[in-house]
Amino acid sequence: MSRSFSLSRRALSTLSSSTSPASRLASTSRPPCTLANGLRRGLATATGKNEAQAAVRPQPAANFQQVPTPSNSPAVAPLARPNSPNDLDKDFIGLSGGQIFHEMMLRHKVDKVFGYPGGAILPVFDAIYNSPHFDFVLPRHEQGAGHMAEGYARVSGKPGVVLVTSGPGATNVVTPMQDALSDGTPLVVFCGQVATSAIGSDAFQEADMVGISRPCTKWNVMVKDIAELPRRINEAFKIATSGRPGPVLVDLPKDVTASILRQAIPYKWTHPELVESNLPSRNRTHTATSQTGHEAALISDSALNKAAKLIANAKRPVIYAGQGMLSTPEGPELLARLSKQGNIPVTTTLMGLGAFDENNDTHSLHMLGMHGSAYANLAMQSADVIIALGARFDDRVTGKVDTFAPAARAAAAEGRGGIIHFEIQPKNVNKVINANVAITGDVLESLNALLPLLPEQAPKREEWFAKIKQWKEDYPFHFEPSKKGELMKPQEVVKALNDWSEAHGKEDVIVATGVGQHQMFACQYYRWTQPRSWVSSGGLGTMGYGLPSAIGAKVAAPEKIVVDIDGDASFSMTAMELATASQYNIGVKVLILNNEFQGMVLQWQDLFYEKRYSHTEMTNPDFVALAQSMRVHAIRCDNIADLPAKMKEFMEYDNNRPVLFDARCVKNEHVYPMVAAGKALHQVLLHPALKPVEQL
Amino acid sequence: MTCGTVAPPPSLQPFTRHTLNCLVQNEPGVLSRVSGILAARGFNIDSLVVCATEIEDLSRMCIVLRGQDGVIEQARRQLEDLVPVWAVLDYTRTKTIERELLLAKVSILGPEYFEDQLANKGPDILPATEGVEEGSPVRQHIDNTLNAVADGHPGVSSNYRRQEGTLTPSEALRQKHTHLASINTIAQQFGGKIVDLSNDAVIVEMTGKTARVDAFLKLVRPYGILEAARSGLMVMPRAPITSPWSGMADEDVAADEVEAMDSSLLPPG
Repeated sequence: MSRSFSLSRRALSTLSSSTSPASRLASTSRPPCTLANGLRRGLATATGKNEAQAAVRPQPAANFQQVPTPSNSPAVAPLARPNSPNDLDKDFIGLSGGQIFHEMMLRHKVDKVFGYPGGAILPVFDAIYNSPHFDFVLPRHEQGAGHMAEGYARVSGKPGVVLVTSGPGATNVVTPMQDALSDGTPLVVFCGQVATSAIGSDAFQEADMVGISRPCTKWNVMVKDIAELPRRINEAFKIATSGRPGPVLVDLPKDVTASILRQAIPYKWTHPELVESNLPSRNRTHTATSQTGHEAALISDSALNKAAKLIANAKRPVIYAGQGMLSTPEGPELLARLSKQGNIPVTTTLMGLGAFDENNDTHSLHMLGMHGSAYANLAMQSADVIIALGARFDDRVTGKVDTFAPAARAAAAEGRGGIIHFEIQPKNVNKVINANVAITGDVLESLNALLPLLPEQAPKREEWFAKIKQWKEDYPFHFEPSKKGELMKPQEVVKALNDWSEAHGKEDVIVATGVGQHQMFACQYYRWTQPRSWVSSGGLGTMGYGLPSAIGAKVAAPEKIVVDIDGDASFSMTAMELATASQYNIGVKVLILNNEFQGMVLQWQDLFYEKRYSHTEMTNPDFVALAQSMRVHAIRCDNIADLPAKMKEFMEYDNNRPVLFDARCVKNEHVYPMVAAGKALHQVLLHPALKPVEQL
Repeated sequence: MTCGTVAPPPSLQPFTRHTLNCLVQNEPGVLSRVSGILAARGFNIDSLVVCATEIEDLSRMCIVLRGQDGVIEQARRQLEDLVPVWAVLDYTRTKTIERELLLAKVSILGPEYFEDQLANKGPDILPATEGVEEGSPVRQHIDNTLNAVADGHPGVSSNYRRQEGTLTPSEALRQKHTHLASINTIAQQFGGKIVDLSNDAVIVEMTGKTARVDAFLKLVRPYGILEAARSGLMVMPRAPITSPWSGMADEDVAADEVEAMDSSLLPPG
């Protein structure tokens, strides 16, 4: 595949503007074995459509007097590169909207597409028919396509591409789009739309997708003319991947994708590297004109110097790192350097897991927040300097806002500490928590600028690290092991997975999850060490995210072992995607912590609703039989004694075939520690076996 | 999908009026995105003026809303974060020129007839007195003036008879012209002008800052406002005056009010 891709690339660059419809159509209508054809064929097309069109416009007879034009005169040397981005590119003339879509996907180096066909998007599906240039994954539901693309994006760092039809096809992608918006995942959704002549007529499978998706995308657009199609695709990719990444939607009316381009369009529209969008740049300098907006000022040396001074003089600093640190491979290295050079402990958010090596006993505080470790939360509340890196102070992280970080606020009042917020979106500064020093811009660039300002030798901070050590000893993640004859504890299953992965090497393992208790157990009992090894729905909390995102992750990294830790209720929401994995031989491993209940809701009903289990009990199918019906190998385990062997069988099963593990767990296990809604981070509810937290 | 919300602490900041100026890409859906952000945060927009600017593809929106400083600032940043938005400037504390346009249709029959005139007003495209009931005070007023016109023409018979409590044609005409003259005087005082004149009403056009438009409306209100349309507020920051002479006013205040706005940050850069 890659060979033909590079060939088409080269061919295109040497061919350039002199290709006219007549010459190209003529060339493709010749037998495909000639060398000339291979070189002259500038655009990669998936179908034999050009041959079909060639019949419509036959070559002129030999004795027909042709007026020499640049396109039929061999004397004119083709331009290798356009002189100016405004020069006209004739390459796309004669292509249908669908073929232009296909070509633009290649130019954006898209190699995987997730989608589901339907009436309004058929011209595009026809153009990618049998395309050798990218793999297509057909889910069982469009929501699956969206989550797969998210999983793909989270692991590969490239935008996930979704291709669905109009109406229900597009509305089914709304949940993944909002999920991607909440978690900053780059997602480019192309959806069909009824013909422009039918828009607004309540046509069959018509939905106002631009309207519906407006609040759940970074940007969206309806392509109203085939000439603007390449430009809109370029803009979509640019916007999805720049700044804080996010979802974009391109609405493609059927008549636009079916029509043929008959005019030349500027090079800057057709070449992604020349994209000079007329949309406001995402990298623009944000204005700070408001009186109350002083903090949003541009990245400044004075702010960095102030931050460096606070960090250097801090007695009890803590780093609170979010997903921003995972945006490039350089991020985790920088974080490790800052932690080491500055001698500062690190806690990560749910989305930031993997940005810091959790096996670092002294400096890692693991995850913080509602179900984070007690020692991370206590450290946040006691710290005099909090360094927030690429994180946005989500309500699951802060607990009750006005009781958050009392020590840092007190230190700020005395001018010796405070909250330092590194943030790419100015709107997130002071949104929830007021920062004492706000540094807007790419967190990695800011950190690179900050590190040289820190002293070579950081203070030892023995008292602070001793306190953290004490907290870690007093308030570890804790559960009571299962007794003989009982079903397993979910924590035991995650631990068994962790043990196997430690032994095998964690750089090979990616974990996806659904949403609920199993997700929190995964955060707590799997030790995160590798960047981009964690795929989960944080901001939106989308149940059913696990399996499809694991499929997307596996598609992005086929050589790795991808495990979906799922709950029975969460898995049931998108369980049919197991058939997709089976069909395409996508070797995901589905580990269901099956307690026949919506565990997290049960926990809340236990704690706050006097055990009135209103509609939270699940009546599940036989997951083993369900998997087998999809030709997927399945394992069941219901006691701790069999667990290590069965976990080994599960993890070492053929990496090219899906496998399901039904781990039957006890019903009434709670996730501890827990910071209840409306409580401060230090008012943490610990496992009953541990002594309560001394109040600050 | 677990729940549990943490209510933000109620802020005691006062609600103040804010003027935001948005420079946006001129393309479909931008207004919807901007108003959607504001609606999602519970703002009621007092006024909103949108039009294309002298620069191609660029539109300017001027939004007036009420809210707490902190909340408005957050909304401003959210607006600025939108892809098709170039910049959002809060002009609330900047020295600006503020203007809005008023078109007011004012009765010249007088307040006695206003209620009736308003109640019987037909569709806007018809004269205000079209369809007025036979025998109503307005109808009599109109009839009287029409009859007065007819009287002036020889050969037109007059069926006019003087009745107790009604105006003579001349009285009706004089009254109308008195009202017209007074409205015209007020309008001129406010820099406005009469742009349409009909049998029973005039349309006055005036521009001014919001308070001045309010004052004008208060003054013509006794005459009877049949209809008023206001454009909403537009603003433009004043340019500072530089001079070696320091002037007599307190410098600190002046410097504080003229807020720095680096115009090089504005598109197209």
